[in-house]
Amino acid sequence: MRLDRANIVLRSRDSWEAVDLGATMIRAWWRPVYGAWLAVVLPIVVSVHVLLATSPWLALLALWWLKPLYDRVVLHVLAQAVFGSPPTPRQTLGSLGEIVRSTGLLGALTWRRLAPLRSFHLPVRQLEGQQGGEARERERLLARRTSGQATGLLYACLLFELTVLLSLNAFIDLLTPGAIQIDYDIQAFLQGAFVSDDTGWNAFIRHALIFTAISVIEPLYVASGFALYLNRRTKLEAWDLELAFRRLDRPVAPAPKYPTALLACCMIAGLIGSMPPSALASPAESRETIREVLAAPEFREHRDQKVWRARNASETTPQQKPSFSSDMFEAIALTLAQIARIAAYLLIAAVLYVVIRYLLREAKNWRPTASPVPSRPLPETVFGLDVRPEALPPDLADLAAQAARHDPRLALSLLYRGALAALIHRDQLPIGVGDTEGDCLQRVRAIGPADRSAFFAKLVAAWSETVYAQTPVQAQTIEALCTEWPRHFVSDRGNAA
Amino acid sequence: MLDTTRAVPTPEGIELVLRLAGPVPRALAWLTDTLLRFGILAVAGWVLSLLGQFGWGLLLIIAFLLEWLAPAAFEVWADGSTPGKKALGLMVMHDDGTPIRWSAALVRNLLRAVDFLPFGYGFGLIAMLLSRDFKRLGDIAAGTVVVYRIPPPEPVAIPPARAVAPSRPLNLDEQRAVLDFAERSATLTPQRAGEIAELARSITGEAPAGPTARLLEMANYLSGPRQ
Repeated sequence: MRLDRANIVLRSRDSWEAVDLGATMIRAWWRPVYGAWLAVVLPIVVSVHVLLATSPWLALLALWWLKPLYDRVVLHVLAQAVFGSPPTPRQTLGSLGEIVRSTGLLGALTWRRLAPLRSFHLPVRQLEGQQGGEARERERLLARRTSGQATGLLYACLLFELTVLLSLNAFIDLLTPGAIQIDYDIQAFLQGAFVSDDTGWNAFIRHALIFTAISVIEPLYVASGFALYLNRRTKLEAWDLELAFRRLDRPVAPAPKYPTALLACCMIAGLIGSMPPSALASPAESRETIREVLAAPEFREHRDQKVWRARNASETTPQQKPSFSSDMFEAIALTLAQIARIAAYLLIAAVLYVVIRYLLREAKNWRPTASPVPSRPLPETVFGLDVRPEALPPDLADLAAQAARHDPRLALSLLYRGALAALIHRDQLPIGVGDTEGDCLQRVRAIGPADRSAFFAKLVAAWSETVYAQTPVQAQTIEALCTEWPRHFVSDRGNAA
Repeated sequence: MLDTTRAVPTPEGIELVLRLAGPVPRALAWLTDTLLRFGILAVAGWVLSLLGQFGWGLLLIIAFLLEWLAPAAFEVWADGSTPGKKALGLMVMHDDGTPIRWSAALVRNLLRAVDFLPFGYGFGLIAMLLSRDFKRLGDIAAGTVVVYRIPPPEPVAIPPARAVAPSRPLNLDEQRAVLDFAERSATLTPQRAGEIAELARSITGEAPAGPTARLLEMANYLSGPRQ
């Protein structure tokens, strides 16, 4: 046995993890395991049935009783698979004599047949070749921390065998027409699965199913027990450390790079063939053909519908008075039922209320967006400029025209603030405190009219040039703006505000 | 190399290792859950039977919730474990290692009806035995795996000794092996410990007190001073 040639990861596992490793082993080596199983176990089972053909019961008992023999075959394959390569069925068949002679089979088939830790202890006798007192001593040592899991494994495998057997039975019943009765009798079902006092085909099928169930689960039981055994020895003898220290002497290999996934792209060229025009029928012809095809009996849909209907609608069954143990409980029950009913009504009402309220609230948002949102406070300043109407002079355009010559900045400021104040308060334009000049311009454009937004664009440009670019703007431009301003921002109702 | 783990690479190039749970512990966890559920239903049935038909109705509602929603609720709210799973040290998570959410929990628990077919979880058992990650059909549909909860590592005292540096720098696996050896040396027979330590000649060198003692000294060096 060379640990560095082991085909399983030797690490110190939790015992349940070791049990799971057994299932992985069976999945990885199902071919050699079932090959050997069919080569060795199937002939044994068949010959048992031939020998005991007169009493199927006894044959069934023998089939079950010989399980330790099957276990040895499975373990023989698995042990070689773990530390090397699995044997072929022919090789297993060749070593059958050795398996029968030197693995304590006699004891296993008689006084140790019902030992609960059978599969966990099997490697001690079969692989270590221990016998008698030494073997018992060793088994005790190995079982010290693992007997709980090994016992759990036994019960789980019993459960699994039962599950597979009943599933196979139920599966056959499901696929057999008329086999399912509505008043299903679980006792008859279980009897059908196990009790076989009849002979012939029924017995044959039943025994085949039981053998199938054993075949599915018994290798799992052996493999899991073997994995538990290996894990126990790994812990006791620090096999994983031995491996790690053996690796010390090897030259340090570069760390394996994470394999980059290779993406193979297949280009599938879709062939789009175009039909020659002569092959196409005219629309009228094709309509005719379609009608003919649809008139065929295959397209006539005929459906049988079955509906439950009361046979005598007028005849109502008398309400049965439920029999209670006492009137008090009846009263309590009725009260609770009333409370539950009221609670249900209240619940429905509450749900309705919530839904209606939600719908009402949502309905506001469904109206056209032109209606103003009154809750939003109007901004008092936009980019630091005071735009409250009361902070602005009433004759704003005139004042700006006067200031255009000696203080263009003041003039533009007046015009700009006035425009903003008018937009915010008269036109309810949703200008926020954080909006930029560009944002304002966009909003003005959105509500039109075109000539006003053009004027506002000119005003913003002049304002930006003066304030941000520090470029003097021509006085004529400002005066032109002043004369044009009232046309856009003074309403008929009053002044700029 | 066979193992029962599933590696989940993260975008950072780290590999998370999930330790998958197989059919045997999962069946025992299921058994525990089922017995618990029957127990609750038996007690509830006994109490509610005093209330007549109202009690019957209530019992049926409780049975429905226990059968279909309680496992999913436990898995989402109680760290991926129903009581049975907790007892066996198992938990459910998405197969990329993230905690399970409602959609996956509901899918995998509703599909128990499919796994139950044809009788007693026959399909579920076969699916678990055949699939690489021990998934039953519900797990395949929901993209979940059942894994072992990683128990908090028990602090194992390294036998105290003078700290001695290894003769050459060790990589991570080698350091771990030396520390493992020191932690587990108490559970090994002295002969076996000596046998294993003999394999580490290349890093212990010719130590006067023997390779076992030298490995312990190196473990004390690697684990840092503990004064």
